[in-house]
Parts: sequence; C-alpha cells; structure tokens
Amino acid sequence: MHSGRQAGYTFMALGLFFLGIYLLSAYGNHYYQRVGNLMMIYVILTVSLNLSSGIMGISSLGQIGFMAIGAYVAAILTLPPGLKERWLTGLPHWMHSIQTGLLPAMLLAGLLAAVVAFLVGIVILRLQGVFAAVATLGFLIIVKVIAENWMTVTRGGRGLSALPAYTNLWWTSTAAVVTIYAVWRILKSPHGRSMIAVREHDLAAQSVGINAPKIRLLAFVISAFFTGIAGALWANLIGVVSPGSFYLWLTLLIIIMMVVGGMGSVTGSVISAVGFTILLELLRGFENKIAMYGISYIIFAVVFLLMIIFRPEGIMGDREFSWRNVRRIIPLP
Amino acid sequence: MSSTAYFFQQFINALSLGSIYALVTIGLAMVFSILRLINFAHGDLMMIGSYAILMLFNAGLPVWTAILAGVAISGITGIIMERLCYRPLRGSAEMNTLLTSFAVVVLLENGAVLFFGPNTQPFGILNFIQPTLAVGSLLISKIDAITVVLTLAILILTALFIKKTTLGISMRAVADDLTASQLVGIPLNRVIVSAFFIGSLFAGLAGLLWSARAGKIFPLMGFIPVVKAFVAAVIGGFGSIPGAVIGGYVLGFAEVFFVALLPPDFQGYRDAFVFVLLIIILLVRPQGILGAKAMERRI
Repeated sequence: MHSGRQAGYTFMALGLFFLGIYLLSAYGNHYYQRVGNLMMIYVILTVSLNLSSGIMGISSLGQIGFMAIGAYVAAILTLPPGLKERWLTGLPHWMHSIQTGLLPAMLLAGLLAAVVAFLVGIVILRLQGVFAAVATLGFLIIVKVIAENWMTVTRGGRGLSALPAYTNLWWTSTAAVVTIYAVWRILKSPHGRSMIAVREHDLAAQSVGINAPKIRLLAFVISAFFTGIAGALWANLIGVVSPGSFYLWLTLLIIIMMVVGGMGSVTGSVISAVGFTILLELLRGFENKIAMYGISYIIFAVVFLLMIIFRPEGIMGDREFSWRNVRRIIPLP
Repeated sequence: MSSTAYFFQQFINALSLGSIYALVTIGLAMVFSILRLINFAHGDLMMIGSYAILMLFNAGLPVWTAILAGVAISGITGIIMERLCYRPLRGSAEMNTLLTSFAVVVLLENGAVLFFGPNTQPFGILNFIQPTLAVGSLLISKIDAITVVLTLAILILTALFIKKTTLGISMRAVADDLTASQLVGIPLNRVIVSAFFIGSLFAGLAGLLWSARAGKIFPLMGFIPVVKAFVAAVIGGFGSIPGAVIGGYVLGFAEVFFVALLPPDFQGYRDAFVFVLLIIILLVRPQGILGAKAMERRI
C-alpha cells in the first residue's frame, strides 16, 4: 500500500480520536472524563514500560518508582505557595514563591525521572534477569522509604494534597499520543533494532558492533522520562500524592497490562491498557455492589496467571498494527 | 545502662532478627537452588501461618496445638502453591515465573484482606512467656532467646537432613545437576514438593516468631521480610543453604547496628539502607560470601 495513503489513514484516525476527546470533554460527565484520563495515563505507563521491559528486555520491577518521582516533582511545583511555605520547610527559600503550570511541571517531572534513571541505570543495568528485577524492586522500595521519611520535602506519609486539578483530557490524550509516537519511532529506528538484537542475544549483538550497555541505558532513561510525565499527570488529576500510591499494586497492574498485551508490541500495550482500564472500572462497580473490597485485585491476578500459563506471548505477541492488515478485513478506499 | 550492656542487648536483638531471616532465607534458597525461581510469595506464607495460628488459638485450641497446626497449614499452602501456580510454568522463561510469583503475592495478600480484614491485629499469643530474662544486670527478651535457641536447633536438624537422608541427598543432587539426577532416577516432583514443604514450614515458624516480635499482624506483613530474605540470600551466595544462614545473620546484624549507631532521625531509612547494601553487593561480589556457582538456566 502507498505510504502516503497510510499516513492519510493515520491522520484521519487521529482526527476521529481527538473528535472523541472533544465530545467527551465537552459533553461527557465527570466520571467518564476521569476514566478517560486514567486510561490515557495507563496507556503512557504501559507503552513506556514496554520500551524498557518488552522491547529492550530489562526485567524491571521498579518502573513505578519513576512515576513516584515524577508525581512528587509535579506536586511540589504546582502546590499553592501558602501550603508550600507551611509544609515544605526543607525546600530552598526561592522555591516557596514559585507555582508553575502543568506543562513545565510535566517536563521537569519527566526530566528528573530521566536523570535518576540515568544514575540508577548505570549501576543496576549491569545486572541481568532476576537479579536486575530484585535490584529494581529495591529501587522502588528506596523511593518509597524516602518519600515516607523526608518530611520537609515530601511531607512524609500524610502526602501532599490540595494540588490544582490541571490535568484534563487534552493533556492526557496528547501526552499519550506523543508517547506512542515516540516509542513507535524508536522501535522502527536503528536504535530499536539494536534493542531487539541485544534482547535476543547480547553477545551476538555486541559482536556486530552494538554498544549493549549504552542502548540498554538509553531505553531505560527514555522509558523513565515518559513514566515521570505520567506521574505528573496523575498527581494533578487525583490532587493528592502519597507514598503508598506508587507501590506494588500499580507495579503489578502495568506489568499485567504489558504482558497481556504482548511484550514488545506497542499496539498490544495500547489495546491492553484501554481494555484493562474498562475492566477495572466495571470490577470496581461490582466490588461496591457485593461489598467485597479487593476482589478486583484477585481477579486481575488470576487473569494474569491464566494468561502466563496458557498464552505467555500475550494478545499481540510482538506483532504491530498496520493499515495493510486492516484492509484485508475491512475494504478501505 | 552501661554501654557494654547496651551493646550486648543489641547483639541478642541482632542474633534473633538474623535467626528469623535465616529461617525465611533457607526456604527461598532451597526452591531457588532447584528451580531457579525467586518465590516472592514465600513471605506470604509467614502471613498465612501467623493468621492461622491466631485464628486457631482464638477458636479455643491450646496455644501449642494452634502453633503446630498453623505451621502445618503454612507448609500445605506451600505445596498447593507449587502445584497450582509453579508446576504449570516449569520450563518457561525465568522472568515469567518471577512475575507469576509477584501475581501470587497480590492474590494471597488481597485474599487475606478479604478474609481477615485490612486492619492490623494484635498478636499476643506468646505473651504468657515472661517478657524478660535477667542475667546478672542484663535484661534479655525471652522471645529473642527462644528464637535464637529454636533456630539453632532447626539449623542443626536441617544440616543433618540435607547431609544424611536420601531426600536431602536427592535435593543436593538435583540442585547440583538436574539432568544427571534425572538420569539416575531421582523423582524430581517429590524433591520439588519437599523443598516447597520444608521451606514453607520454616516460613510459617518464622512468621510466628516475627509476629511475636512485632506484636501485630496484617495482610501485607510478608512482603518486606521476603525481599530482605532475598538480600540475605545474595549476601551469602544465592542458592547455597549454608550461605542463606550466614546471609541471614549478616543482614540481621547489619540492620540492627545500622539503627543503633545512627541518630534517631535516620532510623526510618532502615529499609532503604538494606537495599542500598543489596545493590552494592550485587555489583561488588555477585557470587556472595560463599560464592555460589554461576546461575545457569535450569529445567
């Protein structure tokens, strides 16, 4: 198929998507808007985790630590100055009077998460497999312990509340589209090919001249950048950040989304994040109806266990969406 | 209190904490040495054992019966876990089994929230034991003393079991060379199930001791101990059972003296310190103190 025509289809699909976003933000009720926002945030988290874990093959259990860093950076930047002066006595004085909007908060959140990922990555990425997994889990626990104890900057276990609700559907959907586009471009670039080569066979990849440690660090840092942005969006959507929000449950949730979608497939991650967000909301309603709180976590864990036993490659494997395949099924012009 | 007495009390405290870590780590190391599986759900067996003991005790059972039954329940849960979650995954990628054990954690912890409620419950069934033992001018917590003595007895029994019994020898053979042990007809499933069972019994017992020390139990109590047991296993040399014991004690001492030596403001960072230690050891001496063999793919 002609590539210009494919681009045309893509722009039309994007147009329809943003028309949907417009309709939802103009006419949808508060609940649907909130679910839409969460859906976009989960898409960003899953797609960026897929870059480092699925495509690059780093076994990371610490991804949510970067989200926590992003969320706290955004929370500290967007907190009203009065509260900042009262709660965050450990900040330098000049920061007390600053209150930024969402865009600078997002970018700084992503940037700081990326810087931390760079420093942590230099150390942790020398480990392989299960050892990398437990070391990154250790990183997550370290982030949580710091958030709980650094009272004068994070306000400890009470968390930071009364954050302005800057996040809306336009921000989250644009950030999701940018993330998908960026990860897609990386996947199709020489860098992406190198990542897959290193994942499949480290030594063979190095012997054809790929700098494996460097490419692993690159994937880790980019992935942390987008995860930090998701944290910033989350903070200004929910309005509260506390250490317990960014821990095991969210870690498992995005891993489930990635594995069920298919490790290595951006399309799979998007489908799975969208599907699981809807499932999560349905289960939450069910949970309230039968008053058995926590049952949705159990159902999620069981779904994951069945998936990993019977179809470990996930919904998409490492295949991707293409207009060519769509045209085989639906006769597009 | 003189500084010598303070030091000695911290020493007993560290010995007791190290004993609990050693008990948890043995189970983790036994399973790992055979299957190359890091079973995060191992910590939840501590939680299940403690809740079972408390419920049986509240139901009117004598305390020692409740303890024996609770530890047995923990052992049986370990066997069920292996059968339902890990056996179907034999031979699949290391990362898949690790993620599976993570999902089992969520399953068990939320199951516990559902059945026992999310709140912390007091755990005082060992309170009938005199709280302290006076040795000269020293006051030693009796729970700590029992923990240390009991663990030592169990460690000696375990060492004899592994060295002398057929099952123990089979276990070492499978850990050493899986294919060759299959060729001489060692029943793999029986060895794996025994490793899970013994490890889970120890986890149940460690749960009792841990909960008695803390005086409370809650559904998520098992997670931090198991991740720390992993650190202990790495310190000793992963997969080696003597290494697991040494690592457990080293970690117990490192943690207690970290807290004792630092100003109170930093004590909240105790867990962070443990994981910084983990990352340093993984980088500097990944084979651990006893230098376990290289981690090749298994099964």
